[in-house]
Amino acid sequence: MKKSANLQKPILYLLPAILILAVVVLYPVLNALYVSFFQWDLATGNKMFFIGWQNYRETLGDVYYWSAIGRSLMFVLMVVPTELLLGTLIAILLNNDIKGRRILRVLFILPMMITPVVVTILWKIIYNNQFGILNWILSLVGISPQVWLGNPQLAMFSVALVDIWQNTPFIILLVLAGLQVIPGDVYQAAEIDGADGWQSFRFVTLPYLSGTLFLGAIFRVVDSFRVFDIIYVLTKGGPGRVTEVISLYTYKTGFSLFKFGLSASQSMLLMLLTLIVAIPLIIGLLSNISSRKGVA
Amino acid sequence: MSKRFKLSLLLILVLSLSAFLLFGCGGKTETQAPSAGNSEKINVAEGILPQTYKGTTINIISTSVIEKLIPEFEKQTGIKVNSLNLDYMATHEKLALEFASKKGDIDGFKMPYQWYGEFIGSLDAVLPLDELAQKPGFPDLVLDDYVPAALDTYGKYNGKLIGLPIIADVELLVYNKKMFETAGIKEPPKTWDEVTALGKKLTIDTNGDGRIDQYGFGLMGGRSAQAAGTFTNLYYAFGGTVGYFDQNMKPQFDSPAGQQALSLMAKDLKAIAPPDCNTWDHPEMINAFSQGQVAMGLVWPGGASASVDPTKSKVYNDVGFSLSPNNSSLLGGWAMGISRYSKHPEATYLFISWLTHPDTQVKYALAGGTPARVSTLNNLELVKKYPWFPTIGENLAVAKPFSKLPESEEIIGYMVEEANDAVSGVKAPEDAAKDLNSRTEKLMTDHGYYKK
Repeated sequence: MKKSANLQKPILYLLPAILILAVVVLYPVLNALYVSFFQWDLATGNKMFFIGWQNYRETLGDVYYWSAIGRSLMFVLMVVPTELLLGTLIAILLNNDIKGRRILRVLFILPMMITPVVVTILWKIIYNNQFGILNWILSLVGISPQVWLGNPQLAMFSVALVDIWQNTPFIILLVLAGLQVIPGDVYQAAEIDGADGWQSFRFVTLPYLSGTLFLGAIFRVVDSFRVFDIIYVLTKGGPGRVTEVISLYTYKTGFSLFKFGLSASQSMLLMLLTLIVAIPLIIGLLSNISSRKGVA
Repeated sequence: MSKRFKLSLLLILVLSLSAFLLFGCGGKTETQAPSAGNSEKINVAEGILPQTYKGTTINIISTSVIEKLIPEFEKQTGIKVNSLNLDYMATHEKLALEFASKKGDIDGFKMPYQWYGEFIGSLDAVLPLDELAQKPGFPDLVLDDYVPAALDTYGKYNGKLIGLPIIADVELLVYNKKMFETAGIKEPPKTWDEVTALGKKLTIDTNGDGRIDQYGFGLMGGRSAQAAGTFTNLYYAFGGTVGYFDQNMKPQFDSPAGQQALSLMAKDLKAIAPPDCNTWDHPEMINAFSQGQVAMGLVWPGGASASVDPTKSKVYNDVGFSLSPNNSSLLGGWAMGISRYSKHPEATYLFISWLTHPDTQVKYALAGGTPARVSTLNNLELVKKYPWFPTIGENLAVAKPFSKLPESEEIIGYMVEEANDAVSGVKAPEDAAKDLNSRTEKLMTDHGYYKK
């Protein structure tokens, strides 16, 4: 009885958020699930026909869908480890007593505050073949200008770089917060035990940061798996299909070809795949938290 | 549960529901349009328009040029016009969603004729104007003042008046007279063979730093509708069937015309174009030409005004316009239409009939628009200011259209992808032509075109 009374307040406080989530998340997801079983194609009239699993069969047999999934995975593998590594290193650096630390912290976090589309347009100018600053810098060291967004060998790297530039600050912020909670006496104890800089990082800092890094990885894997705006503005999936990741492919099916049912089935499968990737990370995070509680 | 808890729960539910209703359904300030049929005198030239729809708000998908004229209309009628200035693909997306939801959030819009099969033939979402045109209280349409091809192609569908032509679009060849003169070239090319031959002469390093900084041709080969436009122009120039199909509705992209068009784009034109041309849309072409980076290119008249504007162009004094090569061009073109789901069709009709009126069209042209009216295109004052106006007429005479099938936009999407694949070098042009053909044939099969 007492337990249920204790639950009343939290439920009460959470209710508005749950209601809003139900309206803006649950309803669209359920609606997309419903639509995914229909043929709903604007080019042949705005009518819906129930076709069962046909859209799913078509999606599973579509080589372009799977190659787009492959490109999304490649994008995730390019950006997430780099962001985690760079973000952790920069955060540790900014956690030290270095001159101008406050200003540096603001400067490093800044890219995260800018709207992705604005960031992307800035990078489009930076990458410009004729007037871009990147080719100008390269020319100073004698390297010929590169077609950053038009060269099939470079395009994916170029879009990944923009994502790394914009989202590494998120990891910096997380890790900086994580570093604040490590008690100073743990380092002192390590020092007494004769640990050097690397050892205290490996055996003190890293275990304490593992939960934070798991959390960062979950956010970044899920976010970068469904990256859209950066690639849409920079390359629209080109050259050829080199940067056509899964969210762009699904968007194209829905909003260029107007096959809403097929696009919905692609989205549902994408959600399933994202969950498959994210669930092990979430389990890792939860077990990390519970083991931490056990220690405490 | 305690009574207090229950009361609080109820209060939160009521507040949440009110907030949802307020944000979800509120905010509409539009007043219901009064019925038409007023006896006020109308004189567009003197700015006398009816006040019948004062207080009404209409939502329009327009262009930057139209947006410049909107304040004048608002002042004269008391109608509030909310304008959305969207590009080609965004307009298609917005309209398709609008017509799928049938909510009537968009009242009027620009529309290119290649969407008519889809939006009118298939969805029946555009309001025919014949009935409104008979009503009193609106500016006269002066239909006989339109370029006939524009009125037939953009104004009508299955014999009904469904839009008022606003942009007479046709691809023109633009060239830099000074670059031609420096290279000893006397006149613009008449064939695509000449374009590639002259283009090689014009692709040079002008400052002697060992790097090419002037290119012969600005190829719009990015993943935008322009790649499909360039391909279609070339496909017609090499004798491709109008509308891409034979009499049995079999696509002809894999024909010699289709093969030749993709090969020219991917090999000959790519060789004389800036290396990043496989990321180019129309603005990149206009910009490169205006900055003196390219000597030639295909442009739509809408972009031409920027190239002769001294504030935007370095080469404004050297711009020449000519007939698209091989005596063949691609017909573009937009009309203003009204949504069947509009809650204010009459106020919207007042706006589009005023906008396309011959007197407003002069202001529209002066603001940088390309008119579809004979009187405006032949206006001597305007011709002096916009020297390409006569070239529009020449190109219109030989231009061939996109398809008006409901599948047109989807096929344009395939064209964009295959042309971009070929120009980017990720697919051989011959394979791109074959794939374009087989994808289109599959689409037509799926849509039941070949059922006996």
